[in-house]
Amino acid sequence: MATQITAILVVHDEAILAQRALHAIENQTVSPDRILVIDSSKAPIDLQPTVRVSQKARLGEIVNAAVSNLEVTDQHWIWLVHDDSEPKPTALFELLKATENSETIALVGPMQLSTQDNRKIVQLGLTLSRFGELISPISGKLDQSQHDRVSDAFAVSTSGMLVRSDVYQKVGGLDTRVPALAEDFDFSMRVRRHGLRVVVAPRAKVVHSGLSLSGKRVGGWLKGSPKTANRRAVISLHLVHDSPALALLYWTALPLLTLYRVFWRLAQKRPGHILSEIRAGFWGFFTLPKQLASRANAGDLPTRTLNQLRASWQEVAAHKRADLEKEESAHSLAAFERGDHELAVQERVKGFTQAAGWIFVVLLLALSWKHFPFAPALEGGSALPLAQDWFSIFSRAGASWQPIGTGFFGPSDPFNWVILALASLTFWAPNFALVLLLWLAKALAFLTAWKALSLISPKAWQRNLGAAAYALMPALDVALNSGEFPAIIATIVLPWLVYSVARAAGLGRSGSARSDSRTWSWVGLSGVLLAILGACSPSLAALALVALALVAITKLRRFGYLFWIPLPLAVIYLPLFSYLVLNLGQPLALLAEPTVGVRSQSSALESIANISHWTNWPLALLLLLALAAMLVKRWVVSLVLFGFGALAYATALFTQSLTFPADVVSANYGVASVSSSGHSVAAAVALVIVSLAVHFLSSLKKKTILGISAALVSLSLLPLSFAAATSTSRLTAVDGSVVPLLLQKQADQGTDLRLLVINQGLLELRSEITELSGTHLEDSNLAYRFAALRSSISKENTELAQLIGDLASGNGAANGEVLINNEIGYVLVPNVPENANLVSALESSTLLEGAGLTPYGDLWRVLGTSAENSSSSEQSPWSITKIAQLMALLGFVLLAIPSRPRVRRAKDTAIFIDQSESELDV
Amino acid sequence: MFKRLASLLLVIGTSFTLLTLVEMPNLQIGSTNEGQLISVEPKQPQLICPGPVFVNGGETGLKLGKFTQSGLAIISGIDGIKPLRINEAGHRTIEGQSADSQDFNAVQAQRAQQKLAGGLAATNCLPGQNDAWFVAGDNSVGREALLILVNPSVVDATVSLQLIGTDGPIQGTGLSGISAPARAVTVLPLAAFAPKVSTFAVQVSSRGAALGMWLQQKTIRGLTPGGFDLVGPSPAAQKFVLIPGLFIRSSAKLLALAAKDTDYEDTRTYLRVVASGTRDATFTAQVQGADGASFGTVIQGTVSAGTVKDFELSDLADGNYIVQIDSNEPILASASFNRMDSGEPDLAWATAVNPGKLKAGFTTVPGSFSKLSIVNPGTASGSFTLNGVTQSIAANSNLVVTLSSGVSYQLSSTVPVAASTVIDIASSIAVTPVLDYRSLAGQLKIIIR
Repeated sequence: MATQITAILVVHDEAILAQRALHAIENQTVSPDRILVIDSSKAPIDLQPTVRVSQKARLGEIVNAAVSNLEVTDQHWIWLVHDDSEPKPTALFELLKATENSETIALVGPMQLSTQDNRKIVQLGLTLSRFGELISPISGKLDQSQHDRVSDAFAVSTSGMLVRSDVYQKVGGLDTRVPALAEDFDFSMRVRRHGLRVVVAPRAKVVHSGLSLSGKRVGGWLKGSPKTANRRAVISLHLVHDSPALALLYWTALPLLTLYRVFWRLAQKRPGHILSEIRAGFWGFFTLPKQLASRANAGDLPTRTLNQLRASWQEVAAHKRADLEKEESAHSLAAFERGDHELAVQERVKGFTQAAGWIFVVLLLALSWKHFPFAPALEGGSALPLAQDWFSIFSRAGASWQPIGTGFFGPSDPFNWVILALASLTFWAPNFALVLLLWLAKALAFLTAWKALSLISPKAWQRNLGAAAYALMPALDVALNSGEFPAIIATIVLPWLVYSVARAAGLGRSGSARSDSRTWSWVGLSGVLLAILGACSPSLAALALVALALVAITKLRRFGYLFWIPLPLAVIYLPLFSYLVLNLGQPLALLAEPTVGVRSQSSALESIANISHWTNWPLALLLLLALAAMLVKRWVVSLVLFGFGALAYATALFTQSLTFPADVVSANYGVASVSSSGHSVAAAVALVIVSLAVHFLSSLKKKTILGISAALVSLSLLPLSFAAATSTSRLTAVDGSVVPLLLQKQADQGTDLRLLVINQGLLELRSEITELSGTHLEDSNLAYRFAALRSSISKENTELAQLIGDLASGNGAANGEVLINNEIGYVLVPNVPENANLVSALESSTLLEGAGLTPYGDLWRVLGTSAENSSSSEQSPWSITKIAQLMALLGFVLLAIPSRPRVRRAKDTAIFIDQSESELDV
Repeated sequence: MFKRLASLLLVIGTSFTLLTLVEMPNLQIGSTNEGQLISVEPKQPQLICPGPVFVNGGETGLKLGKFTQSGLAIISGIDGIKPLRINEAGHRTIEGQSADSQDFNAVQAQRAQQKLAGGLAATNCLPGQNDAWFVAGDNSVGREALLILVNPSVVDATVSLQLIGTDGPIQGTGLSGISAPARAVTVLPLAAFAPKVSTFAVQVSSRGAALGMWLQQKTIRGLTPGGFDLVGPSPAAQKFVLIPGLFIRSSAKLLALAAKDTDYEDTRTYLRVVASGTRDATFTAQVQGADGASFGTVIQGTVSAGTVKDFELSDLADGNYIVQIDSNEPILASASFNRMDSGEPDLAWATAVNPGKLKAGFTTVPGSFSKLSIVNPGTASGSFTLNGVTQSIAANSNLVVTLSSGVSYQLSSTVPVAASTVIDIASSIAVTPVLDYRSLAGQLKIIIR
C-alpha cells in the first residue's frame, strides 16, 4: 500500500506567515496527498481549503479536529506544519526518507533553522535533563552538515513533525490537558513509551520563527509568559510521566520545591523568573487531578527506559549557559541602545590597594585603640550586652511576642534583624561582634565612604582624604564612645548604600552595571543596605527614600530595578508601622530610634560637631571647600548635593525636636523620655560636606593649588585624629552577663520563672519583670515603649504594682500569691546607694529568702517557687511575620551576592568592557 | 559664572537660615509610662538608739573581753507632736507614729566622765539598715574602735564585715557569718580584726534583719580618757562628697599639745578618704569657711583603689568650716577633729552628708550649745526654712545657725543642701548629720516594665 501524506497547516493569526508556509508545503519535492488548513485566528485567514476552529482551541484540539476524519493506517502519515514555519522544498522528502530506516519509527522531526540566519540551527530534537528541565540540545549552532545523520531523539517539536496517523490515534494524539510547551514532549514520550521510535531527520529543514516559544503569539497560547509556560511544562511532565510514587512525591514536595527555586532564581540574579516559578508552582499543585488523568494513555514502558536519551550533564550546562548568554546579550544590547554605555568612565582608576587606602585603614584602626576588642561585651551609654546564645537573639528578630513584663504581643524592632546579622558573624560569642564593630567602625566607614566618593572623583588621594574626613567626623566618635550601635551602623552603611544605588541606577562616574545580573546584584545590595539603614535610623531611611524617589524619577528607565529596593525595608517595618500607626495612632513614633536611646538632648548642630571644642574647628576648612564646590563647572551637581545636605540637616532639626517615651531600662539611668541623638542623620550631612569638598578638589587643575589644598585637608585631619584617639569612652567592659550566675544557669536550663528587678527612684519605684536571663540589647522594644502606658493600667499590672509597693515599704502586706501567679522566682535589687532602704525592706519580707549579695545587687528567692515546678514552656521562635521577613531578607541577600560565573562572563563580553567591574564593585 | 555665584549665595543663605533661624517646636510623641499610683501602708516606724558608752571589762575594767554599757544616755526627740525625753541605760528601740524624720526623730547624747571613757558622744537614733559604711576608727595603742550592732527585730541577723586599711582590704578570719541575735546588742571590737591599725574603714552588711549600727571610738592616753564619740554610718561612695560641721576651736592649744607629746598627735584635724572602687581616686578637697574670716584650705590627693588614707588638714585657724570634695572616682570620706578647754581634748568625727532638697527634722541635745552647719553646694542660690524661719543661702556657700538646746527642729530647703548639727557641752564636741529619712508609704508611683 502506497504511503499517504496529509499536510496539516495550523494557522493562528499570522496571515502572511501562513501564506508563506502554505506556499512552502505546495512547493515540496514530494507533494502531500492532501493539505488541510486549520484556522484558529481571530479574523479568518483567506486560505483554501480551510477548517475553522475556535480561536481558543489548543493545538491538540486543532490537530485532533483535523485528523478526526482522516484514514488511520500504518501507511498514512500526518505532516504538521505551524504557520510560523517554512519547510525547505526537500523537507517532506527527507522526513519520509527517515521513516524508511525502520518500521518502528513513528515520529520524525525536522531540523529547525533560524529565520534571521537560515544556516543557524534553532532546534534539532528535544530532550529533558535528569531533573526534567526542557532542553533543546542543539541550538544556536551553524548547520555545516555535521548533524546530517538520522538519529533517535527523546522528543521532537510539533512544528514540521511527521507522524503516523495510527500511532497518533493510538497514543491519544496531542493531549490538550498538558500545558502548551509540554505538548510536543508529552506526545513524543507517549510514542516512545508505546515502544515506537522518535527520530530527527536533519536533512529535513524547516525555517521556524518560534513565535509561541518567544511569547510573540497574539492571543496567549501559552497562557502566560514563556517562562511560566516552560515551568508548567516541566511540572506537568513530572506528574504525567514519572512513576506514580515519584509523581506523588514530586507533587507533595512542589510547594517546597517552588520556594527553593524562588531563592535559586534570586541567587541566579534572575528575579524575573520568580513570578513564573510561583505561578507554575500553584498551577501544578492545584491541577493534580487533570495531570493524573493524562497518565491514562501514557504508554506501558516506564519513563526510565528513555533515560539514555536524556541530556547529559555537559549538554545541560551548555544549554543553560547558552540560555543565560542569550538573556545577557539581549540586556546588553538594550543597554547599549539606551546609551548607558556612554555614561561609563573612560579612564582607569586605581583600586583600593593601589590607592594606598589600606594605610588609612591601618591608621584608623590604630586611632581606635581604646575600642580594641579586649572585652567580651560592653555596657554603658546606650549599650547593653546581647544575650549570650545566638538562638535567643534569633528568637527576638521579627518576633510577634516579646518576653517583656508578663508578656507583650507586639512587633519586635526591625533593628533586631541587624543585631541578628551581626551576632551571626560571631555566633559562638554574639557580643564579640558588637565589640569588634566598635573597633572596626572607623575603618569600615572609611571603606564605604571611599567607594561612595569614587562616584565623584577618580583621584585616589582625594578619595582617601575625603573618606578619612568622613570616618573621623565627631558625630561618629560620640556615637562610638556612647555605644550607639544604630548610629554607628548607619554611618558605615550610608555611603555604601549611596554607591550601591548609584550603580543600580547608573549614576555617577562608574556608569551602570553592564549586565542584568550585575544590576540585580546592586538592586539586592541596595535593598539589604536600605533595610539595615532603616532599621538603625528611621529618619535617615526617610531621607534615603526621598533620595531614591528622586533618582527613580531622573532615571525613569531604571524604575523597574529601583522600584524593588525598598521592599526589604517595607517588609521589616510593616508590623511596626501597622502597630504604631494603625493601632496606636502615632505615625511620628516611627521616627524613634531603636535600643535604649540617648540620655541627653543636643542641638542638631551639636549632634554633628561640638564647635566649642578646638579639635572640631578644622571642619571649617571642609565647609569652605564644600561651599567652593558651587563655583566649579559642574555646579549643578554641587547644588543638588547641597540640597540633599540641607534636607538632611532639616531632618536632624526636626527629629531632635521630638521626644519619645523612654524604656524603663533607660529610666533606671534617670531618663523619662529620650530624643534622637542625631548622630545617624549627621552621617548624611557629613557625607554631603565631604562629597562637596572632594567635588571641588576634583575640579582643580593647577598643581600648586591642588597641592596646597591637599596639604590643608591633610592637616585638618590631624586635630580630628587627635580627638578620636583621646576621647573618653562611656563604655565599660563586662563579661556579657546581666544577671547573677545563679539565674543565668537556671535560665540556661530552661524555666518560665521570672525575675523582678526593683530600683528606687526619687519619688517612684521602677521595676522590671524579665526572664531569668535578664534584659539584653535585643529586648529593647519600640512598640512596647509606646504601648507601655496602655499596658500599665491592666488589672494584672495593678496587682503587681501593689505587690511591689508593699514589698518596698516592708509593711508585711505583700501578697505572695501575686508573686507565685506571675511565676516570679527571684527579686533583685541593684547595688546602688538609692536602693539601701529597699534592701532593708525586702530583707524583712517573709515571702523572700536571701540568696546573697551578687555583683548585680541583692538577690532574694521567692519562697514557694522553683525552677523545677516552672519548667520552660517552649515558645516557638517562628511566626508568619518572621518567616515573611526572613524570606524577603534572605532573598535580597541572595540577590545581592554576585554570582561568580557571571563575573567571568562580564569580562568576556568584550564589546562593552570599559574597565574591570571587579575594580569597582565591592 | 553668574549662575555659580547665585548658587553660592543661595547655599550660604540657606545654610545661615537653617543654622540660625529655623527652630522646630518640641513635640512629645507618645506618652511616657507614668506607672500607677498605689496606696501603701507604712511599716511600723522605728528608731534605734545605741545607749550609753560600752566599756571593756565592766565597771571595774577588770573583766576583759566583756563589754558593758556605762552611765546613762539622754535621748531627746519628737514623735509627731509628742516630745521624747528618755534617760536610758541600755540600747533602746522607739516605735513612733510617723515615718518621716521631720515628725519622728531622736538624738542621744552622753557626756562621759569616767575612768574608762571621757568626752561627749552624741548620735542620731536611726532606722534599721542592712548595709553601712563607717569611715572612722583608730585601733592604735590607747585607742579603741567598737562596732555596735543593735538588732531590734525578732529574727537573728548574720553580719559580714569588710575592713579596708591603708594597704587594701584587711583579711582575717571571722569577718563573715557574725551573728547578731534578735532583740540584742552585739559589740565587735575591731581591734580583733585590725589590731593596732590606726587608719581604716569598715563596711557592715547584715542579712536577715535590719540593724542599728554605730562605731564607738574611744581614746585613753595612759590612764586618762581623752575623747569619746559615737559615729554613725557614712553615705555610699560618691564622686562629690560634702562634710558639714567641721568647727575648729582651740587649734593653737591642740597643736602645742601635739608638739609636746606625740600621743596627742591624733588630735590634729584630718580627713579620711576611702577609695572603695576598683580604680584609684584622685580628689580635691576644699575646706571652706562659713564667714569671711575663715579661709580654709585646699588639698589634693590620690587614694589607691581599695584603700583608705588620712590627709591632715593643717593650718586651719579656729573657725566654722565645711569640706567639699571632688573626686574622679566614687569615694567615702569623714573628717576628725578635737576640741579642748582646760581638761583633756574630746574627739569628734564629722561624717559626710548627701545633699538633697530637705524636708527633715532633728532635735538638739538638752543642755548643749548647738549650731547648724548648712551648705548649698549647687550653682543656684536658694533658701531653707528652720522652724518657720526662712533664710536664703547663696550658691556654693555655707552658713552657721545657732540653735536652742533641747528643741526639735523642722528643716526644709528649696535647693539641695547638706546639714549637720555641731554639739558642744563644756568643750566636749560631737557632730550629728541632719538625716532626711522617710519610709515608703502613702501614694507610691510604681512603674513596671
